[in-house]
Amino acid sequence: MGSAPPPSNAPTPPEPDSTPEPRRRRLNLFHVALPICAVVGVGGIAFPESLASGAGAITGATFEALDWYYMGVVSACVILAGWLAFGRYGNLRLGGPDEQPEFSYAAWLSMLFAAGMGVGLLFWGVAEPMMHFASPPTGVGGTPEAARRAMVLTNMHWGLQAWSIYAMGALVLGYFAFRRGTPYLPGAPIRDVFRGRWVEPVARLADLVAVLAVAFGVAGSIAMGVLQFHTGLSVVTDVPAQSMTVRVVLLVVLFISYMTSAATSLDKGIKWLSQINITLALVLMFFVLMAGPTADLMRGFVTALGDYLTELPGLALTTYPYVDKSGWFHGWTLVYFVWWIAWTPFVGIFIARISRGRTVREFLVCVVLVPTLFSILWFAIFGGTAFHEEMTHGGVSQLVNENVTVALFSLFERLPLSSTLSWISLMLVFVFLVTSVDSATYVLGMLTSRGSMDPPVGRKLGWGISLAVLGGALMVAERIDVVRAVSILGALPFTLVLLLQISALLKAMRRDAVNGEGNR
Amino acid sequence: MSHRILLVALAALTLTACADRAAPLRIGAKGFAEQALLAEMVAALARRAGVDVAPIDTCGDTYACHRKLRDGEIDVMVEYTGTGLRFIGAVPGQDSMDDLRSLYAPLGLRWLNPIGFDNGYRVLVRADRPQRTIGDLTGVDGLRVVAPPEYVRRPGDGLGALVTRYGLRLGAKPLLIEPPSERYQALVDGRADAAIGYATDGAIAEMGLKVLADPAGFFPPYEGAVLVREDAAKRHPGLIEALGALEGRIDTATMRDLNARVQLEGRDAGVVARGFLATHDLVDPAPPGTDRPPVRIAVHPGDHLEAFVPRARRAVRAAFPDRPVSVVDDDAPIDRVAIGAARLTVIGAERFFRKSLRSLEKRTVRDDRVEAVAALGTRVLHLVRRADDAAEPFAGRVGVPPEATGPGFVGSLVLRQRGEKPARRGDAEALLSAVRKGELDAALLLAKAGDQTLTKSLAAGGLTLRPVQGWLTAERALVAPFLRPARVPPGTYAGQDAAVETLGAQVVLADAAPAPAIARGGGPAAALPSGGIPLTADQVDAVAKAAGVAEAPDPVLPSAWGARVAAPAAAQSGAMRALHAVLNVLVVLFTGWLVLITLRPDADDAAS
Repeated sequence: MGSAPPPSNAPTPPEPDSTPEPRRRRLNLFHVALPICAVVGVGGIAFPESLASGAGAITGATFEALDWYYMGVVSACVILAGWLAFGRYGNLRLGGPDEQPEFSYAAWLSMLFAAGMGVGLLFWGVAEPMMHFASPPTGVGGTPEAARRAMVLTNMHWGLQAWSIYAMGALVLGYFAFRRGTPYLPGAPIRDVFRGRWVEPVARLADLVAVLAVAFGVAGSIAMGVLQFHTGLSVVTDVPAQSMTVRVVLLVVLFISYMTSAATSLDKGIKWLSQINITLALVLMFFVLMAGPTADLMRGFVTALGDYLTELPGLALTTYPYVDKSGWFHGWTLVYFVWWIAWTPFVGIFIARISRGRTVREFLVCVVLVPTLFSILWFAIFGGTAFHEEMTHGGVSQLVNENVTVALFSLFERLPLSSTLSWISLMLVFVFLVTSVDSATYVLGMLTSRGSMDPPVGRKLGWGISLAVLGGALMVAERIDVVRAVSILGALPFTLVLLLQISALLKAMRRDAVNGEGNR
Repeated sequence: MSHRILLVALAALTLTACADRAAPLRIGAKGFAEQALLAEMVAALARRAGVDVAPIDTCGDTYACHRKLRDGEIDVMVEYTGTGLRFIGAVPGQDSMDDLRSLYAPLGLRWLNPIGFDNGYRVLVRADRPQRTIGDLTGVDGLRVVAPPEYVRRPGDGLGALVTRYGLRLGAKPLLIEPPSERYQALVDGRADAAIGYATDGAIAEMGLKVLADPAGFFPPYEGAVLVREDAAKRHPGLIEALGALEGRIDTATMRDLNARVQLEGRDAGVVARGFLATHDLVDPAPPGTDRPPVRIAVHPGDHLEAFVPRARRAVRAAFPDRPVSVVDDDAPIDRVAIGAARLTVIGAERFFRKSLRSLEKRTVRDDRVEAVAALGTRVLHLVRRADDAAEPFAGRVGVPPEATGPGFVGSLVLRQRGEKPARRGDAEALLSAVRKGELDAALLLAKAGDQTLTKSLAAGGLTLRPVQGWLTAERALVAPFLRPARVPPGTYAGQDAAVETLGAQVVLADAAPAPAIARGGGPAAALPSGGIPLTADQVDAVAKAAGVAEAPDPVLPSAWGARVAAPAAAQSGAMRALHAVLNVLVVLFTGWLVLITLRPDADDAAS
């Protein structure tokens, strides 16, 4: 393995690792990871109490002991992203030294938007600012200062930290895939850079941990998505609100939808649906902007931006050590950050795939800043409208504290065309869910087929079933703390993998820069 | 240049033309629920007729509203005929609608025909009292009265005139309480003997009160009717016709019902008003879902906690000022709160311990899925036997309420611990009449001291209250920790001159207990509805304060008080701390190693 970059002719698509391995001698990742997920899933359905206490204990202990570490890692990602973007490695290219970007700027930016849009923004758009407004970790709730604080906290959860994590994860994968031809496996950068007897086992462990992180994270999202959809449906129609039967039916419908797409070549249909979804979400956002107090909202947006930039350094590293607010902090901030880490192997692949040919600087600046700006705008519009309603008519924050989904719909009720808006958002949730899980089966199939870009259908279906079982177990557990604890189970160790990957990246970059590429 | 001047002139002309539209209709309302309801109805009907309506002006009391109406600051209000006569200086004999109209016409005010209800002043007493008419109150020496502040100052039909007319003997200055349900609570609690209220108050039925008849015709009729300025009627053609739809539309019982929805349940007056008009096809129905979802309080119907529900409802309204509060019957109130179908429940302390009898072991298991937020009062065991029965209190056949109810559970528990079994189960009235008839020797009931059923029964004579003493031993206190010594004060019931020692159990308002520590901090996932959501600390404070009961929830119950200040770190065992230390050391070592290998020069990498 020399240290020269690959030849800079036509871009070569990354090849799967083609080292022949006799199948019997090597434990296939698929055959390890899938059973683990299946066992947890089936065990969870059969013994929900054990799942609850087990997951809760692990997550609780880790948070209690290492919350400072996670905050440090996440903030380090932000700083590192900034340093890489504006430092001497900024000109390194994700591909050959003269390679042109695969997609135009416009196409690339719009795909970044799409990567950033999801069910979460839709539902938390109103609820999160309102919840922080009503019960802030410090200070008095319900005041204008609390409103500004609430926006800052919300943006902290969904802004630079989140996207820096994704950006670093994606940067690692993209860098090695486009320059070194490695597959999109999390362990691949480690194998590529490091030497020693520890490398292979650690790399395989990294792959396993990544698979578990994605699987558990997606299962958590399935459970929460079905719950959210169910509650929304019970608000807009006459469906009973507490019925497990309805939820199981919804899960089955979801299962059939995403399996159909995964099993057949309805990929194009899914892509088209997903584009419509994103357009609709943007239309929804603009409608709310126009129908709400537009000038106030834009004012709120600019203020939120300013507040976010000024308060971020202080907030980013607060773990509330001397006040007993660690409950709030563990419940909100830490969960969000670890949740984003859980999704990094997944989202990272998609961002990497569309970023061929970009320089590190372009990549980091756009991947971190563009979705962050968009999130700030989104929350300024939805959260701002909710604040306005609360301060003029009241009644929103109490609803939000009890039931997130009702709050979103009751906000719509105060706007024109309310039932259209409600049905649109229900549809958006469902389609986002289907597309996410469909992509997840693809990613999991790929991760467990040694990075093959066209994983066998059988594996995808196997993962589809596993995800449904896991998601069903979490749904049946009916306790949100269990859902949360399980969904970040895989992410806790994956943080260490992420750090290893970054280390590999830095070494590779230093090597490549030394070889003369970084100075252009 | 001349074109521009033309355009500007046209624009100015258009603007002034637009500005010449009729000024909006200003509606006034006095400061109570019924006025808000009727004002909203006037507003909805006016809008339906195409009239622009300004926000409703709550002008305060009658005096302030009349002044505004006469000065032209408001255009229309709903007034009562009796009040209208008093405020225009009518002489006795002038009391018909024609008189009213002729008296007000010089002021430029017009009365429409009455809406159909009579919201006059009434004298109210507890339903278990013997009085039938206001005149019967003369038998009460030292009568204590509670009244709204405005009533004592009223010319002509106020408190002074009432006392004179009927020859009442007041014992002290009257208690002045404005909010109707608090006024009636004073009556129910025994701080007053009679209350002045309105015929259409929503709380009358709910709190077990009755209206005393007025044979002397002291209180004139107070029929509600729309009073509108003539110039407003001219400015808005079609207004009189639209408001005419209210004439004769609402009778007293209906008005009381509408008031109850706003006063007791806390529903929005506008929503209730428009809903009522919609059912009579007078306006278009509002789109669904615009009413805020109610906060539900679950109550077991067999527990007969009606005496405590009004206080609970008020306390919850204080914690949820924007939400209506509705009380739902449920056979398993704790289950309902635990799954989140109801937010709160009013239960006796005994319901927390129901599980103990189901297990084979003797130990008591407490249901921790709900926690007490505020105490609402105490119920005591009433052991009722025939007056001429000199036997031991528990001798013979004892009847208790049904097992599924709280009182029934306590009754059978008490008997079972003595090695006896209940002879019969039934509701309180059936058991008391069985004792009177000799079919049972005793009835063991759990009720509030001064409960209406018992008051009636004991006042009828032939029955007496016996003490429950010596039951509570150290061992039994473990099985039934919710029972504590209590007493029935002397004079609570007819013929009961001495205090009666017995046992009592608290009645509490309970919410869902918080889930384990990891969810306590809230967080994005914790907001999804998948179980009962406990009240926040502020809501607990508001409820406890508003409940106004000076005792804390029984310490044997899981409680929302004090639980919120628990420091989570205090419970860390040595093993946990060791684990935390190990984890910390491991990650620091890992990070250190990582930094080392990152910074190590590439020469090492080349070796392969």
